[in-house]
Amino acid sequence: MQLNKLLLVPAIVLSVLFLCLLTLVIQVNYSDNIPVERALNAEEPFNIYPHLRNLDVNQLKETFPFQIYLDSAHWTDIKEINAVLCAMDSSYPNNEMGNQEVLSIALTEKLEAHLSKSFEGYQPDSLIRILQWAERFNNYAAIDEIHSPLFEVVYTYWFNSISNALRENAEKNYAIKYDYKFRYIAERLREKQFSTPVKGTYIEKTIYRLIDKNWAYLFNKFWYATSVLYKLVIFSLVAILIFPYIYILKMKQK
Amino acid sequence: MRYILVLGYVFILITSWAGFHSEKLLPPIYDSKYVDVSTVKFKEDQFHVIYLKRDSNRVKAKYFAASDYNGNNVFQRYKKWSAGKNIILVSSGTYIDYDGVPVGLTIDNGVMVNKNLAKIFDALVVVYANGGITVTNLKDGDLKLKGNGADTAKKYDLRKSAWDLQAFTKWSESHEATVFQTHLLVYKNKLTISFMNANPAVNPRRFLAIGKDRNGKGVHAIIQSTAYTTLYDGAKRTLDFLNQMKGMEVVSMINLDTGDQDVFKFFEKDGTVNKTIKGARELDAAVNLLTYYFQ
Repeated sequence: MQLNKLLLVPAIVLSVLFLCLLTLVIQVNYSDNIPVERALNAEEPFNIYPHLRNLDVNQLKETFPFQIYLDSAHWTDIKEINAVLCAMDSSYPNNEMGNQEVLSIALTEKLEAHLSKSFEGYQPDSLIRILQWAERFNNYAAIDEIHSPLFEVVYTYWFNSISNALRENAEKNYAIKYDYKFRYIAERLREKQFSTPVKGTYIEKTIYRLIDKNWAYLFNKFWYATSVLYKLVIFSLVAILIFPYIYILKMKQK
Repeated sequence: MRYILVLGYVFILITSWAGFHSEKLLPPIYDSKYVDVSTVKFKEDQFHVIYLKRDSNRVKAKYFAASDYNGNNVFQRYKKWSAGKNIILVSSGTYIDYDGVPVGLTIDNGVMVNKNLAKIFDALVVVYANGGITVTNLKDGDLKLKGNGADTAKKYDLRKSAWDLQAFTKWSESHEATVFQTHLLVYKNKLTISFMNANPAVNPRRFLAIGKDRNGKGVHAIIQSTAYTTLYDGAKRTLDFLNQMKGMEVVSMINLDTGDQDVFKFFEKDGTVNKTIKGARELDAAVNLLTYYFQ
């Protein structure tokens, strides 16, 4: 009877730990309905020529009608992007690279400001849609050497932005990094060498180091980097878990 | 006969002593006027300092950021490369994620490793193929590039301009430069890390400081502190130490990883490994390595 009572204490401690882990597992969002990739064809092409009149080629980065372009043009459609590039090249000949740079500003930082709502909070579906769109630019760059600087910039910018957005969201809520869609996006980014630097929690780091058998680091960290109270709590937990077994062994020896 | 035996014993004793201490007879691997080592106590903290004088460009840097295409890991690459070289020190470099990928933009000898320009690190370290090393503050957006294909007058802002970032990665690839990101702790002799948002975790610390000595000559210093401090505390104490004790004007100071890959080895001028200034793990635990060598 006395033995049963003693065993009850570690059983309760282990049950509490198990319940904590279960709560963490239950909180994970396993939803795997990835948004289907959309066809991105413009029905009515946007005519940018009237908006390019009277612009100073040397001031193009400042005076280009970014807002009109993003509001009116089908910037998702590569044919329309090419049409705008053609219009710029004919309006400002001998400035091909400059024209690409201006359009890259429109399709990166200006567009990000335009889509700022997609980056508010954790919205994995929005991030996946942007990823699906931006990924195409890597392929465009491979087949269109002349415009590859623009396409590479757009692709790199958005993959970077998505990667950094993932990290920022994971910083606010560590639990989301176990969500299916989070893992999906992170792996898609990793595949293209955009590794998402998601920070681990204290418990995660400890588990990783246990797996890595980095005993010296674990001991030093526990001994030198924790408070006396923390050490007391850990020693008490270990004692609670071990004591009944020592007691059983002693009883058996008697 | 007895004399011959005694002479024989003396000869054996001398040769075996010389054999045991053969390292003492080896020629120095570097000129000690370029490498100065000291252990100093400053305001209750103990600092191990390796001072590397960069004038004459005899002391050079090399960084291994990742495995190569043939599957050789960083340790294997370092071992192969270091054969016949006069290594002064070797240390773990920047942070890695759980998959062993360096965090932040990383290019190894012109080969892309990680394309993500991480917002969390402000230091962009460029290690040139000729052994030079520079640190820039990404927040300032004033990176300058040299060599073919670079607009030498332009200030590249990699954070704000995607176009500039693309130009920089192309330049790194064509110049076989090595690039990595890490925490920028000091820039232009001022702390850039804030007490308010610094990580509260305590660890032993290892920093690389780049600056000028009392005579205005270029120096790099590796500072190791065994005391467990936060990144902010460690950086502040080290900056005070370098300014006040060493009279060093610190242009930039970055953090070297003492967490998962706490790897460090310092070689004395006779080639033996220093047993005091060291990391907790063996070299093969490193996922990236920064090394200084003498040429």
